[in-house]
Formats: sequence, C-alpha cells, structure tokens
Amino acid sequence: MKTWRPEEGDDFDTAIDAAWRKASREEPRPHVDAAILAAARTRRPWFATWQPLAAAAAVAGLAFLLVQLLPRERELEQPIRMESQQPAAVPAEQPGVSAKATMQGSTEPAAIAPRVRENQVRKLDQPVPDSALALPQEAVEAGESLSDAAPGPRQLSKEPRASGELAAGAPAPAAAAERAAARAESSSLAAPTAQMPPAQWAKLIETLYAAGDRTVAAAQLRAFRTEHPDADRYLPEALQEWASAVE
Amino acid sequence: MGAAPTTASDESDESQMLAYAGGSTEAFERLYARHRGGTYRYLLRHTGNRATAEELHQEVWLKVVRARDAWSPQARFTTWLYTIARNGLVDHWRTRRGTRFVSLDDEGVESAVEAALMHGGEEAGPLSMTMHVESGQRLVAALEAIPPAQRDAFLLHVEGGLALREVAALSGASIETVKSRLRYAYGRLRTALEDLQ
Repeated sequence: MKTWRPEEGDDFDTAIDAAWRKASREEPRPHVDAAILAAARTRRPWFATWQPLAAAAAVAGLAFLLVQLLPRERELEQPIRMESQQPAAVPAEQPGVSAKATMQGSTEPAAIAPRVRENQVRKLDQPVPDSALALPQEAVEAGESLSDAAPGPRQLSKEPRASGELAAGAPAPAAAAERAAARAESSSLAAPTAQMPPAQWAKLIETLYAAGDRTVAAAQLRAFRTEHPDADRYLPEALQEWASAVE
Repeated sequence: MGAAPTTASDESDESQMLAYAGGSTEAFERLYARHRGGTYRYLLRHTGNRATAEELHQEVWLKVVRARDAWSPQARFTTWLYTIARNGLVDHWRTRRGTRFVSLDDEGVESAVEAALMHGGEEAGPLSMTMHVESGQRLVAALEAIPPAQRDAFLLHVEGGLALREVAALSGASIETVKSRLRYAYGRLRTALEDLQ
C-alpha cells in the first residue's frame, strides 16, 4: 500500500505478510470494475445539486407564508372576544350597579369602564360626562322589580362576568352561544330604562354606540321608539344615519 | 476515526478523492486501481463467495461514488473505505441470518459465523477458490480456522494496510485488544507454514 506507513508495533511478521500477499491475489472480475467506473464517471445532473437548496427554499417560503397568515387569525378572534365582553361594560358604568358589582368581588366591569370612556371620546370627538351614563335610581329599582321577568342590572353585572370567564378559556364554538346570550341580555336592557327622560335615554344610546356595542344600542333605540314615537329626534346628528338603519 | 484533519499530498488517497469530488474521474480511477484488490479480498475472505464478495465490493465503491461531494479528509481514506466495507459485511450477515445481529467483534457469535461461513449452502468455503500454491492454501485454511474478530483484524491490517490504531478505531476495540488478536492470527498462520516445512 502506498499510503500505509507501518507504526511501532505494526510489524508482526513480515514473512507471513509476504507469503500472504503472494498467495492472496484475487481481484474483482472486469465487469464489476466496469460497472463501478461507469458509475463514477456519471456526473450528477445540475438540478440534483440544487435540489436540496430548492427544497429548503420552498420550506422557508411556506413557513414565511404561515407566519404571515397567523396574525390575521388573531385579528379575527379579537372582535369576537370584544363583542362577548362589551355587555359587561354598560352595567359597570351604571352607578349603584357597579358599586354592587365591586362589593360582590366583580372587578372586570370596572377594568373595562375606562376603555369605554376612551372609545367614546375618540369616536365622537366630544366629551361625555359620566353623569350621562348614570341611570336614575328609580330606573334601577324598577329594573330590580322586574327581575323575575328579565334580568336586572345586578344580574346582568354577574352574567357578563360569567361569559367573560368563558371567553378566557372557552373553545371557539362557545363564542356563538355567548353572542346569542349577549343579544338576549341587550333586549332585556330596555326594560329598566322605560321611565328614563328622553334626552337621557338618547344619551345612553349615544354612549352605547360610541362604546361600539351596536347590538345593545339598537335594542335600546327600539325600546326608546316604543316608548317615544319621536325618539329619533332626541338622537344626535352623528347617530341619525345609524338610527335610520335600525328597524 | 481520527479527529484531526489529514493533510493530503498530491498523490495521497485523500487528495485523489478530493480531486474526484472536484470532477476528476481520472483521480477516482487511480484510487480504485490502488484499492480494488484489497477491498475485494477483504470481502472475499470474510464471505467465502466470489459472487457475494463482488456484489458487496460494488456496493462499497458505489457508496464512495455517492459520497464524493460530502467527503472531507477527516481521517485516512482507507480507514473510511474499510469502515464502509465492514459495515456492508455486517449488514450482509445480518440479512442472511434474519434479525439476529452478527458482529465481527462479538466473540460470542464467532462459532455461529464460522459455521455459516464453512457450511453455508452456496458458500462452499471462504478461502478455497483460487489458491494455487500449497503454502497459500495452508495460509488460507489457517485463516479460515481462526475466529472472525482475529481474521478481521488480520485482513484489515494486511489487505487494507491499516495501522493498529486504525484497526482499533474501526472495530471499536482497544489497541491492546487488536494487538492481541493480530498476534494470535499471525501465530496460527506461522504454525500453518511451519507444518509445511
């Protein structure tokens, strides 16, 4: 062997080595040599060299696309959660009711309330005093007296919390059920406001609209119209277009 | 395998392999011409069947061809070449003997391998093909009689031209173990030749 250099202790018996090499001289047959040499001469096609790189690039491209699509899914989820949480904001703003909710250990409506105010200022571009959100005490009491027929403000302050808990850990199919429950709640909201002065009622609708809770606002508007046929007259200009679409 | 990169002179196996990876088929032809006999005889002495040895020999060299782009001179070319050959041999025995694993280093299965080599159907006898000289026949017969692990060490050393440490690294044994195996193998072959004289 040309490349072999015996090391210390490698030489055991040169006579045996020589005798072995003399005796052992078999070689592969020519057709075996020809097959191996033919394979060795065959160059790989150019695309075979680039194939792994192309595959890696394709995988990277797919991964990039997936990453681009993921945030969109999150954006879609957010409005659903907001919709299920928003009914909780309305009762939280009602004096007496929010106090009761705090006493019961419900902290979520209080946490959402500042956001409602921010939205109101941002969207209507005019400050709305907190008093505009307040329901008269008699309306609250009336609501409580109707608790057998429809959930009153206290009950409402509890139920959105429950739905909020569901939204935190519930699977997607539960979201539809939550929305249906929120709609039912919003229609029942009209009952305690029946004796409210028209201007204050209109303000409440405006606040709900500004907070983005169109479903509850529409329910309130319908109740408002039932009680006051000229209800639309009390609504601000900004809500007129939306009100005309509410049947 | 040796961890340190091997520096290759122009005529060395390593530089020929690198040249082949660079597109020189002549370099491969030189490399093949140097080692074709050694790998073939290594496989022939272990399998005892010309057709099987040729089949394995072809597989070994086709693996070399396929690995040309990925090969780097981390160890001697011959160490790498005989590692491929040895692995091919072990796979061959494993296939032939079903799911049972046969290791060249496993002294416990030496007798089973020996029996398979000596009485295995088409494989009439591992080393009784083209030996024309009587001393050669004696040597072959003596090598046939020694345990596979010792035979393997002898063949890697003599046919492959591997140094002791390379045989040790390739077979996963210590240098002292390999030395012991080689002493035993040489002793048996020496006795075979002395009986002739």
